[in-house]
Amino acid sequence: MFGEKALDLIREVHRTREGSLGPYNEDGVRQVLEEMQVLYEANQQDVAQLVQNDSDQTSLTAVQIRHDSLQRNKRCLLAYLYNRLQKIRALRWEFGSVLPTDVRGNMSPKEIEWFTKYNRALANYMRSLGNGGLDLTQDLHPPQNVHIEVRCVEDKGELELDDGSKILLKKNSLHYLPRSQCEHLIRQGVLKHVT
Amino acid sequence: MDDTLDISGVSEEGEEQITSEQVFQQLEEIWVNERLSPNLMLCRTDITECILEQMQEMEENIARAKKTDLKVSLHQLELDRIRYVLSSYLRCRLEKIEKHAAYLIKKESSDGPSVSRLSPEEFMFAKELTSGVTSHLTASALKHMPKNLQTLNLEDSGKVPNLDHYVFLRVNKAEEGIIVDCETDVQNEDKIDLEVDAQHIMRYKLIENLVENQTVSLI
Amino acid sequence: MLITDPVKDFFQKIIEERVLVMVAQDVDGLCACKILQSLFKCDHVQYTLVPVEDKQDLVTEFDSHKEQYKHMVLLNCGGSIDLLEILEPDDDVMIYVIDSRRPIDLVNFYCERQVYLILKQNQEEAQLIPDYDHIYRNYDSDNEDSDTEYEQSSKRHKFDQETLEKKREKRIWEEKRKEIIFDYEEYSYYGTSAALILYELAWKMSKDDITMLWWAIIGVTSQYQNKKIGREKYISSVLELQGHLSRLNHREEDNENTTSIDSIKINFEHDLDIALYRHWSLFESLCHSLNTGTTFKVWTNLGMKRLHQFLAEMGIPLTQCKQSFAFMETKTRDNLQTLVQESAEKFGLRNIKFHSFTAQCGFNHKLCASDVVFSVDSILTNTESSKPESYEDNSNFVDALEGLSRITSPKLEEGLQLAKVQLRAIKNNVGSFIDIGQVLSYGPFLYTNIKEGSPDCTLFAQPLFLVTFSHFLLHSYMRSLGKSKRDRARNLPLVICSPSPQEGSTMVVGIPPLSEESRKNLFGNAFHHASERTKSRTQHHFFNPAIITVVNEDRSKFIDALITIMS
Repeated sequence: MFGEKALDLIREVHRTREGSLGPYNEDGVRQVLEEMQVLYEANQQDVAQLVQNDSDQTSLTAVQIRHDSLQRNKRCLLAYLYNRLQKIRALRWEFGSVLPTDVRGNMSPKEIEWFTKYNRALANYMRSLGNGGLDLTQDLHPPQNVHIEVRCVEDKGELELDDGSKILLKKNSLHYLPRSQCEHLIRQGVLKHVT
Repeated sequence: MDDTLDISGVSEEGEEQITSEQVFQQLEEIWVNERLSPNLMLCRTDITECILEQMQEMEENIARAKKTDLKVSLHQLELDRIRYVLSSYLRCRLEKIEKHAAYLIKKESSDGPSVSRLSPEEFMFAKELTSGVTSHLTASALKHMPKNLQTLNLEDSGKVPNLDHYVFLRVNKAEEGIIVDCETDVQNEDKIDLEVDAQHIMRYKLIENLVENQTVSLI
Repeated sequence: MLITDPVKDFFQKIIEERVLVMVAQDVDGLCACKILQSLFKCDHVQYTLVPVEDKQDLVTEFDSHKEQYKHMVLLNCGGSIDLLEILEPDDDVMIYVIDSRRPIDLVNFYCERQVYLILKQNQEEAQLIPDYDHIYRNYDSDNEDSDTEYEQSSKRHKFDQETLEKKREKRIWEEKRKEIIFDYEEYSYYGTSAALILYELAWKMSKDDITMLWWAIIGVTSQYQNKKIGREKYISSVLELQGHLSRLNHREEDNENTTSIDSIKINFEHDLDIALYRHWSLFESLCHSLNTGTTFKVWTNLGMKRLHQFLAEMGIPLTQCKQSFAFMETKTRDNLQTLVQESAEKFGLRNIKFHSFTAQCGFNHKLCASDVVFSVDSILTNTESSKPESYEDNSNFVDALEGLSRITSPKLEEGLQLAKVQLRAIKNNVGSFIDIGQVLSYGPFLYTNIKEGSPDCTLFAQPLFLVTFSHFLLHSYMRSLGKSKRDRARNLPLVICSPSPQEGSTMVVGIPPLSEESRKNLFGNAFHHASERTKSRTQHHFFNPAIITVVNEDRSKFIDALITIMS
């Protein structure tokens, strides 16, 4: 069936968990493109025949179906790519400008390129806010306290705080820190908020 | 915001003399509206700039004060709250911009400079975003497709805000003769009067202007 | 040096700083830590909290954090070791010590800077410490100083009468000094609970609340339950806590109905001293408690029979006794205390009741302070590698802290189940040890060896568990003896050897004899001497000096030396 491969791609994006990115299915994309090429060439031939011989209308339906399949393939392919971009965008907000290596590994080179662009656009925008800029990826939750208690889940080495002092993040140590300093680390899973 | 404490920076520089408290109230107002409306609202750089200025002032004040002072932690928390509301507001706008980037850019140019929904920075962002998406889609797929399929029209394929979305609203200022159902025949238009403090559910499209001029608030 | 005003000299000093808190892994230390955490929270003091297991750990943690922190608080560790020597802190590092271990190291006590001790106020504890003049002399006091001076003077006037006189005087003084220090350091024991000291600090700053008091109670209870302090010391601490309790309750009453039902309520009670009975069945609890279990000798058939007789005497049907306490008839439950006490007298059970506290939150079950101690203790010694496959691998320390944080914490419930497992293990092992006669009299002390590869080996590798087990074993052994032998054995301490988690070495634990009411333990010192004398390869890295590890090959000569020293 035409369009089956494209549908598979859509299913793939749909199946991956919220907040995670599956590997870029380069093979799938290529196969869909090949299918499109085949369909296109077949159509070209039939159309050429039609032009030569108007009396023979038998292939007209086939052309119509092929054309619809082409449209459908295009739409699915674009949806696949666009939805992946959406996911990458969500990850940018979650992890900050540097993505974890496993996520990067799942991205196509073009996606990485897009990501850098997006990053730049976002950074430009955030820098324009106020004098020193405003990091919109912070403060995702309404603040309850200036300081919060966090537990370190993995060895992370030194963390430099705003006031210039440093603290050592060691596995299973507990810290009481300004919330603003550890929010991104909590999202990265290095720290865990202890309630 | 509590401006009775000596440390809070009360900036009254605006043309109309307003206290920081009022500014913050306004911010809250546009924040709630923005979050509830399906479409991007008019951009209010006047308020956001003012808030940003105040935040900076507060930050400086806090940095000056003694560390153990109880007031410092209260102000720090206050500052955190303001920053949260502001960030959340701007974040919400960005999300909408990303969603409807192509549509918004088109609208911006069709509306002309008089009503601008996007701030210059936001406009830039939207531009960069759409060009990024277009070039990515072109490079990854479109350019390998048959010639006649290579066109891409983001404005058409991109999503358009659903202005028929129903919203809850509360009336701030009385307003008469709101057309409730414009789809029906012109002869028997359904009109209602909005009374102060009354609450309604309506389609967003009908009251968009009223939200913008603060006649009603979304709830 | 000793801090006389902890509010001013301790808390106010660190309030503006970033503080590193190092906590020993025992219940009292954790409770103290909890109190300190809430105090820090009040004043937004930023801190980092790290658990330390032994002296080595202390040094490592200190070294890895010393760049970042200039203020350190040591909870239940470090007081009895020379901190300046082992940590070698930079000049600008301040170390504050709140430790219940005694004796306090004299250098810590008399040094002029950097190490600050916080002790309980107005207590005889400070008086036990030898006078400064007896330990240090202003002129040629320091050893190094005196050496050089001595050399110089000997060169100049070799036969000077005055110098000779001085030398003689010095020798006498030095001998006396040695004696005083020996007396002072002979026994290791425990002073006031660290949690209680911190609670009092909070009270002085009017920042205490009912939750902090609960932690202080648990701290004190753990000291008693783990046989770290005697009954007398326990009672005096309990009375103090009771005073605080009635003050706090009084304050609540003034607030009239503002407190919600969900807040924690503490009651002072004359409670049954049997393990976890509110969370177990009465029968199991009686079987596995130190007090009742050993009195009935539950490891013998006769003992079991007597236990059943005891239950019959109380008139509680066996089906109910074996049921979970929560499902017993309400009437029986309400009368349980009087029933047990009346029958206990007939069966020669002494001290079946003790003064304790219970806490209740909302309409939940009552929780006894000793239950919490059992629970948290067992979390700390949890060795189960087959922990439920959760996505986090928490350390026991983190789990234990979580268990303490609320009395409704699910971790506490988990801990209670673990505690039951451990108590069962103790009971079974004690039974078999006595049956095969594993406890031997070596003259000055009793001796037991736990063989490698025995069941529950992983548990025995835990020092905390091993100590608890030794107490059970000693009590049970005493009960298994005849009357005449028993009186003599009451004065004998117990030494127990167990395979250490370190390959090829043995952990040796000594506990004081039953007759020693103040729980003073002389093994710390004795182990030291024995190892010095035989040049055994031993490690004294635990905070508790009466626990050491010795290399397997050196074990027999080490034990031999111990016998000679102590007889």
